[in-house]
Amino acid sequence: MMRGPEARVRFITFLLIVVLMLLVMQLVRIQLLEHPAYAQEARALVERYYALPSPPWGLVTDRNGDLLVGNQPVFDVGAEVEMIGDPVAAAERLAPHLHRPVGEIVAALTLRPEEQNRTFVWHPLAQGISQADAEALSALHLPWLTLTPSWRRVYPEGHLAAHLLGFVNAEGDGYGLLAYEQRLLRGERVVQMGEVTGSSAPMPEEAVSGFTMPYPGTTLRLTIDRTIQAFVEGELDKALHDYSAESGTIIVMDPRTGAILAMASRPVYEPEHYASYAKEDETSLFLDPAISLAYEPGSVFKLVTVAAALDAGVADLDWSYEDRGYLDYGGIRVYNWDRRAYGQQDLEGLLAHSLNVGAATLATQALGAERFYDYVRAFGFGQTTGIELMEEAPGILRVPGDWQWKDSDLATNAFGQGIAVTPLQMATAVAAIANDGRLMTPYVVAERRYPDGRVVPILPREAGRPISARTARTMWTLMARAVEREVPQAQVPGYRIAGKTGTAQIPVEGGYDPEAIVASFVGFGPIPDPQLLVFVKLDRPHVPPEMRWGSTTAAPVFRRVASRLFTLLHIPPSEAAEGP
Amino acid sequence: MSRIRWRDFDWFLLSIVVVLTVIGIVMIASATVGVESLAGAWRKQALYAVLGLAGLFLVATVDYHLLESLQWPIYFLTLITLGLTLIFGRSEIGDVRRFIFIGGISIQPAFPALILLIISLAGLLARRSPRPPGFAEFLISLGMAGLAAFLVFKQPNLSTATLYGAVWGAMALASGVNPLYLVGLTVISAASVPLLLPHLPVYMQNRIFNFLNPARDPWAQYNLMQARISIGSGGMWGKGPFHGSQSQLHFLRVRHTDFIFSVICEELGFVGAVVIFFLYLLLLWRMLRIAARATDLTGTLIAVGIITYIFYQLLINVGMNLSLLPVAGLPIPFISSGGSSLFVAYLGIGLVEGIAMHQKGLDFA
Repeated sequence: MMRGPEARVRFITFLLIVVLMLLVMQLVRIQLLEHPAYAQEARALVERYYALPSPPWGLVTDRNGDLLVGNQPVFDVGAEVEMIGDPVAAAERLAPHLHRPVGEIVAALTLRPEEQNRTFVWHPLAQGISQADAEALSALHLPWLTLTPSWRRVYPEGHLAAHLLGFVNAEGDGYGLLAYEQRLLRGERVVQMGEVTGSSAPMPEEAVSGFTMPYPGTTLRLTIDRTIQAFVEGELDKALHDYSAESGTIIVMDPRTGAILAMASRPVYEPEHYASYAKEDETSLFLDPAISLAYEPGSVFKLVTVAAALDAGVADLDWSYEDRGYLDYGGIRVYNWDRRAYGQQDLEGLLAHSLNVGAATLATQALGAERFYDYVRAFGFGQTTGIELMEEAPGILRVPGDWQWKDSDLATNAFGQGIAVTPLQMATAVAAIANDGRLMTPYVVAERRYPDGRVVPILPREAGRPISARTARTMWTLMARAVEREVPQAQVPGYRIAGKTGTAQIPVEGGYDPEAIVASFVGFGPIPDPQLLVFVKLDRPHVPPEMRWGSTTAAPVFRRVASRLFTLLHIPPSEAAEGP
Repeated sequence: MSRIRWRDFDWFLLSIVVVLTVIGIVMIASATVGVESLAGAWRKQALYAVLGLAGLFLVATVDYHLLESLQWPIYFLTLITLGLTLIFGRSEIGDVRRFIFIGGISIQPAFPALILLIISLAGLLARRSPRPPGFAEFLISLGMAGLAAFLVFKQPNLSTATLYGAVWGAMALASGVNPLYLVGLTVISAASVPLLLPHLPVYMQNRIFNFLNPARDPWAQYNLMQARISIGSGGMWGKGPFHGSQSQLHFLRVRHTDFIFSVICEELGFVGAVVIFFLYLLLLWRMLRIAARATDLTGTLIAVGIITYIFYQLLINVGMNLSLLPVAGLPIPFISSGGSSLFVAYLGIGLVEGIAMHQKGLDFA
C-alpha cells in the first residue's frame, strides 16, 4: 500500500503519464496511421468550385445616353449548413430579411440524409436580396452565412419600351434586346475549380491569376430616343382608348438607315417584375407584337404589288385596266372592299381607292407568280429582318412549290390576304421604298461601349435592293397623291406625306371575322427627302362600322405622331427642301 | 525561519516555461495571420508573458509559510472573487457570467481563484502534519473545494469546475488521507451521476451527449472533424509554420485558443507535437522534484496542486483536440492565446519556485 506523500505523488505522476501515453497513441493513430486519408480530405476541402462575384452587367441607354436599363447591387444568400446547430432558431432570425416563409428556410438549413457525413455542405437560401437586407443579415454575425454580391436589372422608366428591352431570367431565357444581346451585356463571370478558403472565397493568388479575370458587360447605346418613345407610347394609349381597340403597335424608323427611333406595342408589361407575370400565367405579354406576332397586312401590301409591277416594267404610270368590281382567278372571285366596279383605273387610282381587283390584276396578269414572289421575298417577307431582338418571327409566306400554295393565293396575296407579316417587316419594306429602293436591316443598337473603353458605333446595313431608285421615286408620287386624294386624315400641314392605309380582316376558322378588323397606316415623309417613317396598327377597334377603316383610325394617329416628330427631329417642311 | 536562496531557484524549470511560451506565441501568430480582429493576439500574449515573468519572480520571493498562515483569509478571498464573478461577470455569449472586464481587459477569475484555493487547501490538509489529515480535514477540504467549484459551475462553466475537483482530489490523495475516503467518495459520486444529470444546464447536458454521440451537434462535430483533419493532414513533419491549409484558410475555428494544439500538429507535425509533450514531461519532472524536496507537507501539496492545475488543463485540451474528450473550453497552459490564463499559470510556477527557495534544508552557504 502507499505510504507517505512521496508514494502518492508518484501515483499521481503515474496517472498523468498513463493519460499522456493514451493521448500519444491517439496522436500516432490520427497523425501517422490515418495520415493519408486526412491529407486527402484536407486537399479536398480547399479545392472546389467557386464563383467570383459577378461583374456588373452592361447598361442600356437611349440614343442620348439616358438610362433605360441599369443595375442594382443585390446579394445572393447561402449557408454552410453543416455549421448550423439549430436550424429553426436560425431560420427565425433570417426570415424577416430573406422574405421567405420560415418553413422553407428551415428546410434549406437542414442537412439532407445524404449530406450527414460531409464536412462542407452549402445550400442556397435566397437570390436578389436588397442591400439593406444584406446589411441586416451581415450584422447578425452568423459565421455560416454567405453573402455573394450580384446584380438586379432595374428599368428606371418602368414599362417604357418594355417589349424592345425585354429581360433575361436566371436560366438565361428571355425576350427582347436583353435576351438577344445577353452574352454581350452580361460580361464574363468566373466559376471554376480552385483553392478556396474556409469561407468559400477563392485564394487571393487564384483570383488574380490571368485566367480568372472577370470582365463587366458591354454598355449598349440604342437608336431609341426616350422622349420619342414616351410620346409614341402616349399616342398609342390614346388611340387605343379613343377607338376602344384591344391592342396596337407603332413603329418609328429612320428609313435612310433602318434605325428604330421608337417601337411600342400594347398590351405591355413591366420587365422589372417579369417574374410576377410568369407566376400569373401572363407570359404571352412578353412576346413583342411588333416582331413576334404576324398579321394579315391587307391593303398596305398593295404597295409591294404596285412597286413590283413598276420595277419589273410590266406597268407604268400610263398603265390602266377595266375594273368590273371583281376578278375570277384560281377558282375564286376577288371583290373590291365595297364590291363596287370602278371602271377604267390607273395605278394612282388603284392605290387611292385601294382596289383589290386592281392589285390582283397586276399580280395575276402583269407580273405572274414567279416575279411577284421574287419581289415579295426581296422586300424581306417570309424571313426575319435581323433586328437584335429575341423571338423575331418570319411571318407566313407561301410560294409556288409549297404544298399549301394555291393559284388563288397569287390573287389574294396581291392585296395582303393569305399572307402574314410582322409590323416590323411591313415597316421595313415600306422604308425601302422611302430609301430609294434600298432595304435596310432594322436595328436598335447604335453603339457598343466595351468595358475596356472601346466605343464601337454600329453602322446601318443594307439588306438588298428590291426596286430601283426610279421605281421608288415613282412610288412616292403615287403614294403622296393617294394620300392627298383619299386620306386627308394623314396629312401634316407643310409636309408632303406618302402613305397607304390598310384595313385587314382577321382570319378565323373557315374564313374571316365579319366584325373585327386590323386598321393600319404606314407613311413616310417629307417628300422629296423622306427622313421619317411611321407605322401604326390598331387591332379590333370597337367603333361604328363606317369608322372601321385604316383611314379613319390609324391615319389620324399617324398624323399626330408624324407632325410632332418632324418638329422634334428638326426635319424641315417639304417647301424648304424643294427650295424657293 | 527560512531565507530566500536564489541558488535554489530552478532556472531550468523557468526556461522550459519560457520555451513553451515562445512556441505558443509563434503558433498564435501563425494561427491568426491575416485575421484583422486577431492581428494583435501574439503581441498581447508576449506582453502578458513579460508581466507573468515579473509576477513569477515576485511570488517566488514570498514565503509560502506566510501564505499558509493566511489560509482562511485567502479562502474567503477565493469565495469573494468567485461570488463577484457570478454577480458582475459577463461573456460574449448569452447569460454566461464567466469573465470580468477591467479597463478593456477580460479576466477569467476562476483561474486566479483556484491558485488561492490551492494555498488554503494545502494549509488545511497539512495542519496535522507530520500526521496525515483525518476525516475532519478530508470533509472540510472537500467542502471548501466543493463550494468554490459550485460557484464556478453556476457561471456556468463545467470544465473549470471539474478542474477544481481534480486539483482537490490530487491534493487530498497526496496529503496522505485514508485512501478509503477517496474510494468511498468516488463510489458515491458515480452513483449520483444519473440523479444529477437531469439537473445540469441544457448546454452542459448537450456537450456530454454530443461527445457520446457526435452526430448531435453539427457545430461541435464540425470543429472536432476539422481538428482531426488538421492533425491528420499534418503527418510526421507538418506543413510548416504559417503553411497549414486548415489553419491558414480558416477551416479550423477558434484555432488560436482551444484548438491551437491542432494547429501545432498540422504545421509542426507529429515531431512537433512530441517535442511539446517532451517539454511538458520535463516541466513535470522539475516540478515533482521540487514537490519531493519540499521540507514540509504544505509545500508538497501546493506543488501538487499547481502540477494538477497545469496538467489537467493540458490533458483535457489535447484530449478534446484528439476527439477523445468532449468539447471543453480549457486552454493549454503557456501555449493557448489568453493573457490572464497565461499570467496566472506564471504565478503558479512562481509559487512552486517559492517552495524551492524556501526549503528548511541544510544551508552550506
